[in-house]
Amino acid sequence: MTRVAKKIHFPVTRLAELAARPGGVTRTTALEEAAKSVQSMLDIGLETTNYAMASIEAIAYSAKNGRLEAENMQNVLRQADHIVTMAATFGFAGLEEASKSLCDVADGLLSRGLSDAAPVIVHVQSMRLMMPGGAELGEVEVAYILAELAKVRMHYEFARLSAGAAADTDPPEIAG
Amino acid sequence: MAQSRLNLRGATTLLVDSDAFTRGLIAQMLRGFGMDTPTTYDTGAAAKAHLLHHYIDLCILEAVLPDMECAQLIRWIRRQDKSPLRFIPIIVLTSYTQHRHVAMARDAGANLIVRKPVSPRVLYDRIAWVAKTSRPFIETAKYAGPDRRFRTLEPLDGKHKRETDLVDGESTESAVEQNPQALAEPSTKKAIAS
Repeated sequence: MTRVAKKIHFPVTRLAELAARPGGVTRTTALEEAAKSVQSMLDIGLETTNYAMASIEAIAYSAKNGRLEAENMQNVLRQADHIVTMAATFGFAGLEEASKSLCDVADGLLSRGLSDAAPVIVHVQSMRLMMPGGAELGEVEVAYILAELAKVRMHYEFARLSAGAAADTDPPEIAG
Repeated sequence: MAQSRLNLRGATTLLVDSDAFTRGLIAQMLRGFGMDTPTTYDTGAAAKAHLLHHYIDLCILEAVLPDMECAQLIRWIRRQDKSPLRFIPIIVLTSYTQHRHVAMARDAGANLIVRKPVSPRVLYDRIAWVAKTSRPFIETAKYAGPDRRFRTLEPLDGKHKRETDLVDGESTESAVEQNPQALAEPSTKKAIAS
């Protein structure tokens, strides 16, 4: 049997030393302060979302003969990913789901070497409706639109990017 | 019961993410936790250059950087022999399209992986955990990084620790049946479900 050379260290990080000092703030205070700071970024978040949305629209509507080049599709994927993060951060559930669906579609098209612009355009139009400050949609209408987008994914038989994703690493409960 | 406090003032963070909005968001959260304003970069190369001359206490990385996979940067940090830099806690952020990179980041030596969007609660709990929990650092030919197994030792409830603690007429079997954790092996789970 071969033995694997292995070293085991038991380091004490500076972060651990700092955290163990007296003083500091409680978890509740820290979370309240952080939540206030995050909320103060709402305007920037909306501005960034609008910018990403406009970029995707510009790419989608510039398709020639219903085709998008791989580089453009890659840009759509990148911008849609940003919108997912921002929509989820500020609780725009409909927009989050629609942009996730666009990520699934763009990723699926890229991985199969397809260049169809139509599924991208239909997602872009749906996302525009769900943008904050856009059309005032009710829950039923949002659910209907998302169900239609799901049909597009099913048509291409694209898997969801979240399907095989690993969970967050959940550390054991921390006291206090 | 009074909540315990965490003193993160003076802790330096390196935050590497290609998205300016995410960098701003995380920086705001860290300030809210009482930490110093993080040093931010949008590429792995710039982060490497910073690390050559500065010590940091915590590293937060996006899973896929414009110029490299975060795994490359993590491996480089973990292989800094004779430097305390290799032991720094590393938290990796993955966006919706980057979930498939989780296993790669884990195998490169990341401490924890967190999905975007990151809420203050999730980020605080992860930072508190890496600050309060010491994990052995393993160094082999193929892997250098924190021990990837979590060992969850639950505190004993004070009952059924010894045969003599059994109440009259109670058998060991029934005691275990009532409190299986008392005699069970400590549970061990993988750092990341892959």
